[in-house]
Amino acid sequence: MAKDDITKSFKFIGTRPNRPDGFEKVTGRAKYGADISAVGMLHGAVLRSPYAHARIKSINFEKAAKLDGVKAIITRDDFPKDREGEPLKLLENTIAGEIAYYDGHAIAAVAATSVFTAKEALKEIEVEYEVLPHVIDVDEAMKPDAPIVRENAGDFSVPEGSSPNVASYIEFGRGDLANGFNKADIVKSGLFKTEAAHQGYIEPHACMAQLDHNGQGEMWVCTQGHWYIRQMCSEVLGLEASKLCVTPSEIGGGFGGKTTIFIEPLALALSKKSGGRPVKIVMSRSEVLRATGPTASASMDVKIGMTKDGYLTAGCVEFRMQGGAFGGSPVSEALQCAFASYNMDAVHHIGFDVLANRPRAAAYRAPGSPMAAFAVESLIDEMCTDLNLDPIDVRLKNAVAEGSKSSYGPKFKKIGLIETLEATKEHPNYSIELGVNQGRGVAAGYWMNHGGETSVSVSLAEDGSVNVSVGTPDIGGSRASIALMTAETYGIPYDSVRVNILETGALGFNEPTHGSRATLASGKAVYEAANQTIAEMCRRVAKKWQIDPDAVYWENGYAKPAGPNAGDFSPISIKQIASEMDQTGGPIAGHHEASIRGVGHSFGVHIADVEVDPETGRVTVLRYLVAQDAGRAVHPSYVEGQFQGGAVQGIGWALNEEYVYGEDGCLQNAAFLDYRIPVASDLPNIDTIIVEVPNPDHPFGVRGVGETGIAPPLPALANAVAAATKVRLRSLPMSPTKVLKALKTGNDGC
Amino acid sequence: MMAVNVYLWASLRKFTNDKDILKIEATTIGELVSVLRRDFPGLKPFLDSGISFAINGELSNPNSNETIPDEAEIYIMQKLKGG
Repeated sequence: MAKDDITKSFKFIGTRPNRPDGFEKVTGRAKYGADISAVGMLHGAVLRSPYAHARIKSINFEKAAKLDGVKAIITRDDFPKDREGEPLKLLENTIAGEIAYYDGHAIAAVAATSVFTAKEALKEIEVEYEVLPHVIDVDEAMKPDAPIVRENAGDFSVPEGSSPNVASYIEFGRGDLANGFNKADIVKSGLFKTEAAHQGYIEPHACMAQLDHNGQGEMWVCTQGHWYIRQMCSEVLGLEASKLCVTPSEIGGGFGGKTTIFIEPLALALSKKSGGRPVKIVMSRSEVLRATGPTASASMDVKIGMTKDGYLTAGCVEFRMQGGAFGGSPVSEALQCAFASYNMDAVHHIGFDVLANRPRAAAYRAPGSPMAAFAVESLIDEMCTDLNLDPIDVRLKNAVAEGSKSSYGPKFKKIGLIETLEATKEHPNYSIELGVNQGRGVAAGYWMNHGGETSVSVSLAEDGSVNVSVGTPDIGGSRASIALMTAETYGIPYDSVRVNILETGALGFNEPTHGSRATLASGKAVYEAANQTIAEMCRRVAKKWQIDPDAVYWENGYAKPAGPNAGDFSPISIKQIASEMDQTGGPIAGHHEASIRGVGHSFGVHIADVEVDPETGRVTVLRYLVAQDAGRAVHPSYVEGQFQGGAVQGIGWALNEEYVYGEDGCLQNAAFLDYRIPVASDLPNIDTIIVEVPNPDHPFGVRGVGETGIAPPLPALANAVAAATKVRLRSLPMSPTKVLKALKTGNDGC
Repeated sequence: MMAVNVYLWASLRKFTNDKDILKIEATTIGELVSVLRRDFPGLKPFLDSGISFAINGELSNPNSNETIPDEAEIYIMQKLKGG
């Protein structure tokens, strides 16, 4: 699948060794957030609002404080009162002040000598509430008479006359929209809706924190980004960042939901109030669903023009996305992704980030892209059906390529959408004959990927093995991919490399493992750092040989003379150089810090085959194919795993997952029994095609693969269900009740 | 000093005399941002809100010291939220 003209041959890149952290993880030895403990540790528990919107008139914790074993109780009064801007929003979301803004909003927290005592103490805290009107639905929140979630919440971007619940507004586009639609033979429009969905990471949030009276502290936490945790906690609590040392645990999934703070400032404040004793807080699944950050719910209007032979002429969207009580929906990213796969002369995008009485939205795998793909790719599929056109051919006719101007402005560098579409079309899944009540759906998706602030170090051990230190927690196999890239750079065995994930005091600032950046960014930085050490090794060997350093080159783990003119010297191995370090100038180490450039955009195309039971409305996924441009698959097994994981999360979002709120504005399905994520028995094998159009701006061609895979499943499944039933559902999830209603009434769910 | 084209999202036009393409004379990203702050003070909250740049198609975090290539095409966007 690789393009020959830009393919290098590699010794280690592209192989599939066991992951270095695998043994610890399968034997239970690896330490996750809740596994951390310390001498004298207390256990924290959090009292949460039972109301969607309520004024907190009083909090009385006298009885709770008298319980044996209770060491500290905190409310908002224990936090700084001078925060503003984003730190104030973070603080408000961490613990309520005068108002509880959503069901599950933290009101107070207790530290006690046991979990049982802490939870008992919560029952003794008396809170007097004045219940306020609430709003849950994004379109309801934008109506003129909607309850106001937070006064004066709109930022600089919000146009005059907008609903007070609009937190921000964005608009961009290009071309003559009217002319574009005039050129079309068919123009279709539609309203599409998606519900909030949670990342569903298996490991709930957990941390242990210790904070002294002088502001010096430590934290062990399950997170995607411990520098972000340090920065946010410092800003919320008014600490000096360097005095807080944050160490990441292993992480049982994050998908964007662990890039911000929830319980961490509470644990620090409890520790400080209890005299500096360590405090551990572990969320229950119910707390995770009620009080962390799912992605936004969305209401989306789309209009697209197409010629009868399948060329897109114009498109416009208006996306309204609910970001919870403090805003933060991924509406700008959604707009950037909406038409990004296609060459279109005229596009226009409008987006609203809307407040509602729900928990603050957090990032979720390719934030915004899945919703945008659902709306745009569904409508394109409707047009393909109307015009009797092959959906892959239509996408090929319009696909962006190197030099194309993206729908949000910048030109694309080398990208692989066309290659991905071609690979998809050639796959056997696309031609398997379907039966009664079965349908096939195709959809494309896009994610821009991210470089970000990165700091790494590499050091040579005395036996010639190599330690790599990075700041990006390993969620999806990045230790293995970074070890492979390191082994490739030095020409030493994979097993001779150990990749460590260090705490905040040991490296410069690192952005989290987000934006599909860990392998791309840490890998690129490690390549630079490793080459520093290689240059130093060549210098030392040159001194030994008494020749110019430029006359020494590095190959397959050896320093060698550059040619006959350099002299007749036997190559010297990394092992020998390492063993002589103490005699040749001391330790050899390299480091690299940068905002990493050279991001490689990523496109994916999925095919879903489904069968719909006309009596129950149940959708069974018969087979599923993911094709995606990885740039270069450093460790193909983990690339395939990312493709499959994204597809599974997208299948769950499309078919079952949704936040269900009652009339009272409280979440009714705050457990995995009722919030239905797919399990293995719900799924077919997810077939994969790794397309490799190497990113020319990365030393190994990496693009980043983690996120794109969740964008196409929503429309691919909607298109498959439409093909199977001849009824179009424009609202997710396509749960059995909704499908059955659609079959009986033709209702599209909106 | 070369003038470069700076593309802003249309919703920011109200701060830039109804223009979404600005001709700015600057040799570095830092100079560019300074000029935008000076000439279009309404953009300050946007520039302070966390932004990223696309310079000739290259997406990245802002780097004040970065030299702008001649005749560069620069887009200023909100900072990406990754998952």
